[in-house]
Amino acid sequence: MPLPRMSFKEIKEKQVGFGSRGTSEMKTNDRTGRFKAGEVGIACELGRPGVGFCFRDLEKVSVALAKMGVEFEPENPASVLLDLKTGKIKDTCKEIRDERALSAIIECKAPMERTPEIYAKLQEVAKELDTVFSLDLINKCRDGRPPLKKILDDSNIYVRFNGKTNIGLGRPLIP
Amino acid sequence: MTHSNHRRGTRESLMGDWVVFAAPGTELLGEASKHKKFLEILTKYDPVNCTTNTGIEGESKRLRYVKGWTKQKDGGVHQSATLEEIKGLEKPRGGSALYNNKKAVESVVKELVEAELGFSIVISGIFDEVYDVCEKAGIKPHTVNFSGETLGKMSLLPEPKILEIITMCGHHFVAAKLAKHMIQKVQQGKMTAEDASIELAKQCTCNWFNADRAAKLIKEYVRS
Repeated sequence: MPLPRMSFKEIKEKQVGFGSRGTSEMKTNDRTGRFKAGEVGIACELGRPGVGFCFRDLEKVSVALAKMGVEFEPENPASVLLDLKTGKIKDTCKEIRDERALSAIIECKAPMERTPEIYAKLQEVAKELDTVFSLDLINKCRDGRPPLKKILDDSNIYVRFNGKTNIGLGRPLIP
Repeated sequence: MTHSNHRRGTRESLMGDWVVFAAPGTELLGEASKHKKFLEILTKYDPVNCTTNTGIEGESKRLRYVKGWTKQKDGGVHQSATLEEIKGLEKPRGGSALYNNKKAVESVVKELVEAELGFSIVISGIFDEVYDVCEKAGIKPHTVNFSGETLGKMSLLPEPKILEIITMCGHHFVAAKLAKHMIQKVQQGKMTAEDASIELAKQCTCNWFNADRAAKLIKEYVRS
C-alpha cells in the first residue's frame, strides 16, 4: 500500500491546506461575520452520514454549485483541491478523483433568495451520485430569527426542527 | 465542521439531547481563568457528557467524561475522566457538555450570559426550544444552521432507527455495524443497553455521543 503523499504536519507547514474537514462556519459567526445578513451559507457534507464517498462525486457537486455562481469558501480544505470558478478538481491533483474518504465538506455561500434554485440544482446532481450528502443551510438571524426559514417554507424545502444555534455571546461581537 | 447538526429523532427523544459548546478556536482565546469558569458552569448542572482540552494546540490532551463510563471500562486510547478531574485542571482550554434536559441548559446559558466570557457559544438542539432558552436568558440567537434533507443514493443508508443512534457522532466514528452488533448483544442478554451505549460513546472522540439517549434508543429498538 503506498504511503500518503503528505503528512498532516507537512500539509500545515507547507500551507497547502487547512486543518479538519471544514471551517468553523457559523460557530464563530458572532466574531467573524463570515455569513452576513441576507446570505445563505451552504455546506454539502459528502459521504455523511456514515457512507463515505469518492472525490469524483465531490467534483460533481462542486461543478453543479459553480454553475450556480456560488462563492466558495477559500479556507475550506476541499476548496484547496478545486478550481473555484469551475468547481473542477485542479489538474495538479486530478489523481485524487478515484480516492475515497469518510467525509469532506464543500462550503459556499450565495444571496439567500437564490436558495430554492440552488437546492433544486443539488437535488438534480444528487441523482448522479454513488453516495449521499448531508446538507447545511446557514443564515444570520434578524431580530433573533433566521429570515431564510420563510423562504424554505414557501418553497417546501424540508429542514429538521433541530440544528445548531450560535447564541451570540462571542466578543467582540459583529452584530 | 458540522458534527452536531444532523442528529435525528423524534421531538420527544431530542428533548433529551442538548449539546452546548465553545466554538473551535476558543481554546486559543483568553486566560485560563475564563476557561476554568466556563467549565465550572458546564459541570454544575449534571451534564451527561463533558469535555475539555489541556494546554494549547499541539500539546493538548482531551479529557472525556461520559456519565456511566467508569475507569473499568477504559481501553486503549479510550480513557475516561471524571467531572472533578475536568474541573480541577489548571489550564483547561475550551470545552463542551451534553445535557438530557432543558432546565439544565437554561441554567447554563443564564450563567454564561452573566459570566461574559466572550466565547462563541453554540447550542445544538430543537430550534424553538433553543430560542426559548435564549429568550429566558435575555439574549437573541445570532446565526443558525439548518439540517436539510440527506440527498443522494439513499439505499446506502442504514435503517432510520440505527441512524438516530449513529448520527450523534457527526464525524461517523460510530459505525452502523457496531451499533447493530451492540444491539444484538443486548437482545441476547449479554450486555445491558447502558453498557452498550458507553461502548458506542467511546468511539466518538469529540465526546458528543449522548450515551444516556442511546441507551433509551437501544431499549426501544429491542422492544420493537
